[in-house]
Amino acid sequence: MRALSADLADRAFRTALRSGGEFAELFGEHRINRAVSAEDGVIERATAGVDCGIGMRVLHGGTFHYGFTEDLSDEAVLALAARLAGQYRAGGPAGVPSRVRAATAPTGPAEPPGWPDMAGMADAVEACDGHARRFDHRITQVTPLCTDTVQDVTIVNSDGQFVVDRRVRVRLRVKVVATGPDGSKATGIETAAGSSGYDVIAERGPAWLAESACQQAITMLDARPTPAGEMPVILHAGSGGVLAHEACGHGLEGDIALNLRSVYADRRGEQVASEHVTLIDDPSIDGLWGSYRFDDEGTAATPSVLIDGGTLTGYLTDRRIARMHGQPNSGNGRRVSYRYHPIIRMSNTYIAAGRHAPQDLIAATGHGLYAKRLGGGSVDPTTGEFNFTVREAYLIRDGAVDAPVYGATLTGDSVGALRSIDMVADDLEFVAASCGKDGQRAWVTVGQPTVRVSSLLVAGSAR
Amino acid sequence: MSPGLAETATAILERARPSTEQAEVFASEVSTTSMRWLNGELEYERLVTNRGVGLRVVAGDRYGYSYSSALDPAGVETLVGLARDAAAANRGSAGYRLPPRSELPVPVVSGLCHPAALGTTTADRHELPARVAGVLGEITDAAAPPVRVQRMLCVDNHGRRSITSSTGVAGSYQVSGVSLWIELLTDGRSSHAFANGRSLWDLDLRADLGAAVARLARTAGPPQPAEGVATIVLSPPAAASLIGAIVPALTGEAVRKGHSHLAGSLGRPIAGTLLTIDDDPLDVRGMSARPFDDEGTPSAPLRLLDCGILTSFLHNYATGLAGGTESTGHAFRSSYRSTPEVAPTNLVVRTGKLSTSELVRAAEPCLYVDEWHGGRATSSRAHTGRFSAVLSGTWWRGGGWAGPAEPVGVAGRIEDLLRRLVLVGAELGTELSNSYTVRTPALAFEGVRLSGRQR
Repeated sequence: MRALSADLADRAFRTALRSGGEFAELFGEHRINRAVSAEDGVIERATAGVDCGIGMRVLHGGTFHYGFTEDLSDEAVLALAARLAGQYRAGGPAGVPSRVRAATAPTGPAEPPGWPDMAGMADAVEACDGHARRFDHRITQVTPLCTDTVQDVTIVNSDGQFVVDRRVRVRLRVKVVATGPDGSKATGIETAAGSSGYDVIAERGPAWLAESACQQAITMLDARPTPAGEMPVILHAGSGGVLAHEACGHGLEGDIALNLRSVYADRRGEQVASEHVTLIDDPSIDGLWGSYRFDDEGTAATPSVLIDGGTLTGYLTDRRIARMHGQPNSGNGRRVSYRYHPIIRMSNTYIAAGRHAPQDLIAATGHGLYAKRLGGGSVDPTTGEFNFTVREAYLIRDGAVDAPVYGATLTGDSVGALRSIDMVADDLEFVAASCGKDGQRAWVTVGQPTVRVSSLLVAGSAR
Repeated sequence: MSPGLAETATAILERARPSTEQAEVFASEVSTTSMRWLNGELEYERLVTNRGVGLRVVAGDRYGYSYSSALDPAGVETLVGLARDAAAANRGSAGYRLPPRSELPVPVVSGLCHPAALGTTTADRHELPARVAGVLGEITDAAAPPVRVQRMLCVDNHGRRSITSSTGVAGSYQVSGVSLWIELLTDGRSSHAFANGRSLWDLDLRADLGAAVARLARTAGPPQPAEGVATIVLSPPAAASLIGAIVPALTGEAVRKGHSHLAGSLGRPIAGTLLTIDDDPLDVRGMSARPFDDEGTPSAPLRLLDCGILTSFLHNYATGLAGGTESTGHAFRSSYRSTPEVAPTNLVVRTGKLSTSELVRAAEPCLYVDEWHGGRATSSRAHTGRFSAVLSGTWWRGGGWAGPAEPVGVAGRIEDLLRRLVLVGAELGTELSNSYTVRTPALAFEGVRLSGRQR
């Protein structure tokens, strides 16, 4: 894609701000997405596509106006600017002057390291498939999927930022189904995903991914129904971070916390979690799935400590919410593509490591649930009420991990759950995930060490 | 579709044909306006047009798919090249063929595009908050705590979908739609209203806001714990979530891949005899109505469950072939970027004779469930048939509402729950899922074990 020029951006901003308005921004994107998957032991699907366009946003008072064009000519961009200018009432004070400067040097790898052709992607998928099928005769379905993305963006705004960046994302995910002698079924899922190239797959390897997924499924074949009721719950390192992300992280996003008055509104400096909890969002961690050098508004990535030793210390913001509420811009403005306006999103969100060994948490728990892998869930971000399914869980009896159980759903309120974390281990892990908000999906990482919640309501089907 | 895109689609087909055995171009162009208000103030206005094409080819006897929004000559060259690269990597698709033109006639589906939708203006949209406030003023009790709108999101769109292929498939249709989501607040409690229709003037604000206001009224008071075995009445939105929980197991794709616990259940009872479910793509009250599916197969109503007995799965061309049957016309693409998957269009549950209020009285004592959390794909396991969900609702006891219930969990096998169906309401609610509509009345299930907080 032809990169946006400073001259075109300057003309577009002057057009967009001619009737007033405080801020204008252009987001140009060219992206190639590829995907290869297998089913029944053979490659069954290979797809590739191109997304290419320029989005424009104009802020005027408390309102913003958004549009995009897939015609990349100067005329089309200027027409878009004129249309957005026409959406708000003219007659106010003249808009602020545009201050477009030259672009920063492009960031990101010029050529992604070890980038395969689609046949190479198919090789990785077949390797994963083969390892899984050889793992155990009870593995009856294997569905590996390899995806990658190369995204080139140009972000220019009337405040003078001009960022040119390349982002890459690579993911290999395998889902397996195990079938027991009685026809019962169980699944296992494992993923390797990152933002630095195919090294993320090479590090763990298709064999490890396949075996991990198969082990989950085989284990859960023997699971029995989960007993219901309130009990201590130990959330295993890594995917247990879904709870902190969903139940707490969304409530700390500035648009929800400050505009919608979530349970975390106006509580900076208050104890909202136990003293064992420090919650951080850090997009600058190299290579993680939720990492970036600049957010989709061109703000450089920096870590944000949201909860420090249980005390609420900050919110996630983007340019608009920071401006609206007089908060610092944390650099969390993200968007799916040029078709969408940026909204506040988490990046790599995690609970910092504690001091216990993971086995100490289990040994200290007489009876409870060990939630090894969380599934999906939902949360009301304003009230903090949440529910999550657990994909892989075990009972804890007499301070030891006991039998696997299926069908567990965790429910509660976020502040109550965070205040009930009474032990945090030292085994911080990260897991790649996908997060939906306002109709947009974002690549994120959830992370945590193993933690114990002293009491959560568990829904299950055992009597 | 603008003439430019139609010409481009034909040109792409012609460009792809010499280097492929078969080719199909799916094109769409959708203009969408989204507006969101926060506490009465316009937060944003987004006016966009999404247009692009998906290219499915058979090249070297293999299947490849590519898509692009860049439709200039260079973009088309890239599109065709990517499709051929994809086919080359698609080692398992030898012998793949695109759907032939169906011998069945394509039905005429009137009312898919409301004429007024094409002329909707910014001023029309800006009047929505006042319209909503007016209806709220009429239906709320002046003596009750005030109800205010915190957030409101209106998305209206109109566009065209078109398909053309080297196998003779060809068709195009225009469609419009509006969905309005409103968050109401009173006394720190919230409730949501959903309205949808074919145009801004097609929304039944009185009915949809009325349901949300009624919920606010009956959920006043301290939540009460729930535990043990009870009769639950699923409101239409909650019933739609339950129906949605079985959808993943109803697709031919899930059956073909061994992911459906219902595989092998055709002709067998999987629910109580009161449950009959059709998929009706010709019912324009459902927002996914269409004359043909997303690979050109003509649409027709399909019975999925008949008095509790599973009578059919949903198929596109490929899953129909794999299952030894034919496409049921349920190929679905979320956009031109997607290959044809399998999904329902408009699921319709056959109604009973009791109004919702009569049904609640008949089921007394019962938990009236407003929201079913987590029952869709996240926790309903298509391959196992197990589910776990959290319910929010209100108790009905002693001839009246007896306060909100604390969230309670239910879990088990979904067929076991469906067999406990004892009453079906007469009033259909229309609920939107991501890709389909569910039109269902309230449903009552007896003997359901609830797990809640113990006191």
